[in-house]
Amino acid sequence: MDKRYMALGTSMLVLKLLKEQSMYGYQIIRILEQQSQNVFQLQEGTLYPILHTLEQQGAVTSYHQTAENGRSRKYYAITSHGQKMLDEKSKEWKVYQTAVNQVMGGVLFE
Amino acid sequence: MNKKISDSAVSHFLEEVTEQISYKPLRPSIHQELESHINDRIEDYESQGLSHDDAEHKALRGMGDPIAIGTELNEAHKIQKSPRLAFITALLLLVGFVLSCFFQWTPEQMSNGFLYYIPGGILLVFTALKGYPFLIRHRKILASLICLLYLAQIVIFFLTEVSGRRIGIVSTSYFATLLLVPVITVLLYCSRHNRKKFLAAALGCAGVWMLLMYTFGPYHFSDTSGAIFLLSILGTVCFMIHRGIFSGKKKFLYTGTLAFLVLLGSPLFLTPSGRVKTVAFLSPQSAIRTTWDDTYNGILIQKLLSRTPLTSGLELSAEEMMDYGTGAWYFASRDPWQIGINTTWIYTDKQEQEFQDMVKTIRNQGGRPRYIHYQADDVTLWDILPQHYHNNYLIAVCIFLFGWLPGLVLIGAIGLFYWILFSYIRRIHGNLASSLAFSCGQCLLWQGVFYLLGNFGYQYALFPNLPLISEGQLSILLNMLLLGLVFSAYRYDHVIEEPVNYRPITSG
Repeated sequence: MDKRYMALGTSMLVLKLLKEQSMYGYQIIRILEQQSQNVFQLQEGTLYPILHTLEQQGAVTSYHQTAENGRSRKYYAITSHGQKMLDEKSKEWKVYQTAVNQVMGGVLFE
Repeated sequence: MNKKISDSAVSHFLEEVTEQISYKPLRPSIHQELESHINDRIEDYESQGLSHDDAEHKALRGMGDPIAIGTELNEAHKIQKSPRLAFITALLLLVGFVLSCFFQWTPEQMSNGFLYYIPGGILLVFTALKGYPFLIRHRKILASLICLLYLAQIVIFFLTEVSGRRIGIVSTSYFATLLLVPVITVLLYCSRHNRKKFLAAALGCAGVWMLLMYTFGPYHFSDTSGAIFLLSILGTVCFMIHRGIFSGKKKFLYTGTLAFLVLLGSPLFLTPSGRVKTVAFLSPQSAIRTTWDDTYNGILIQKLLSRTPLTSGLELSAEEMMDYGTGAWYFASRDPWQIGINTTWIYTDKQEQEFQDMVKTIRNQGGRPRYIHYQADDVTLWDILPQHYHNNYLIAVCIFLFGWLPGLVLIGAIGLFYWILFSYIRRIHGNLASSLAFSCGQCLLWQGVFYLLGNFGYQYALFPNLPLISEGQLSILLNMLLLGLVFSAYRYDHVIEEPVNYRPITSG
C-alpha cells in the first residue's frame, strides 16, 4: 500500500480509537489487534512517532497516570481539533476506498 | 545472568531510540514511555507461558528498528527556529538603536538611553533560548514572585496615598501591569479545569484591579497600561476560547468574557480622570487648554501632517514656523494668553525682572504659555515640532522631516513585524505555549497601536512605547522579555511537555 495511505490509515485508526476513550500506547496496540482480529499488527514502536506527531498537531493531548502496578503511563486523549481531523481523514479515506473499489470492480486490465 | 543480559537488551534498545532525539531534556520521558510499553508486552507474553528471555526478545523484535523510531520521534520533536521573526526583530532593534545613538533629541537619549539596547538584546536572546522551559519548570514560583512584587507595588500605592508623598518607584506600575498579562494567562490556563479555582483566580484579579482603579488609579495608575492590559487579556481569553482551551459553549464564553472585561474597563470611562482622558483622546479640540497639553501636540500634528508632501519633508516659511512654534496659529483667535512668549531678549537682571513681571501678569490672566527660545531669523523646523520627549512622536517627526513615504515605509516595517510575529504565534500548537505567546504578542501589539494613534494626533492618556524602535530604560527590558517568551514558546513548542491535569475519558 502507498506509504501515505498507510500513515493516513494508521493515524485515522488511532484517532478513531481515542474517540472512544483515552488510552496509553500499549493499550492502543492491543485494541487494534483485537478489533482487527490481528490483521493490524504494527511494528509497535512506530505507533509512538504517530502519537507524538498527532500531539504536536493538536489532535491529541496527553497526561500521565500511575497504574496499579506502579508503572507510569502516558495516556492520550482526542481533542476537538482531533475530532475534526478524524472527520477529514475519514472523508479522504472514503475517496481512496471508493477509487480502489471502482478500479478493482469496474475496470478490466488487459 | 540471563536477566542481566535481558536488561541490557532493553536498555540498549531504549538508548538507541533516545540517542536520536536531539533535544536531550525530552529523552527521559520518551525512554519511560517506551520502557513501560515493552514491560507491558513482556508481562503479556510471560502470562502466555513464554520465559522471561523469550518474552523480552519477542517484545523487542515487535517494537521495530530503534533508530528508525528515534529518528521519526525526533522529527516530531524538533526545536523550531524563527528566522523571519529574528530578522525583522534585529532590523527594527537596529533602527531603534541607531535612532537613539544619532538623533539625540530627547532627555532620554541625552542620558545615553541607547545603552539599554545592550542589556535588552542580551535579555531577548537569553529569554528566547531558556525562557519557556524555565517558565514551565518554575511557573508556580515565578507566578508567586510576580504576584508578590505586584502586591508590594499595591502597598507602595497605599502608603503613597496615605502619606501624601511619593514612596518608592511608582512609575514601575506601567511595566508591572503589562507583566501581569502573561502571569494571569498562565494562572487561567493552570486553573481552567477547576471551576472553583478558576473563579477564585478571576475574581481575585478583578477585585484587586477594581480596588486599584477606583482608589489609587487616578493618581498613580497609567490608564494606557490599564487599557493595554485589558485589551490584551480580552484578546488572550478569546484566543483560548477559540482554540477550545476553555471548555463550554463558545457563545456563552465570549459573551461572559466581554461583559466581565467591560465591567473591569468601566473605571477607564467612569472615574473623573478617566472621563477627561477619554474626551482628550476622542476629541483633542474639546480638551485643549494650553500649548503644554499633549492635546495641543495632537492638534499640531494633525495640522502639520495635512501639509506634509509625499516624498519630501515639510517646508514652511519663517513666519509660519513662528506661528506654529508659539501656538499663535491656534490660540490667537481663542485664548491669546496661551501664545508662547519670547525669551531671547533677556540678558540683564533688569530684563529678567521685567520678564518675570510679564509672566506673572499672564499667569494672573489664566495663561500658561510656552517659552520660546528662537526668533524668526533663526527658527528651524526642529524647533516647532511637537514636544518629543521620550521619543513619543518618532513616526510623526519622521514624516515631517522626510515626507510621508519614508514614514509609511517605517509604519509598513512595524506592521510587517506584527504580521510575522502573529503568524509564528498562530503556528504554535501547545495550548499553554500558544496562549502565553499570544498574550505577550498582544501586549506588544497594543503598545504599538496606541503609539501610532498618538503619532496621528489621537493620544490616549500617557504615551506607551513603540516596541523595539522607541524604547525607554525599563520598557526595553519588559518588551524584550515579552518578545523573548514568544520566540521561546515557538522554539520549544514541539519539545516541551505541557503541564496537564486532565481526567481520562473512559468508555461507558
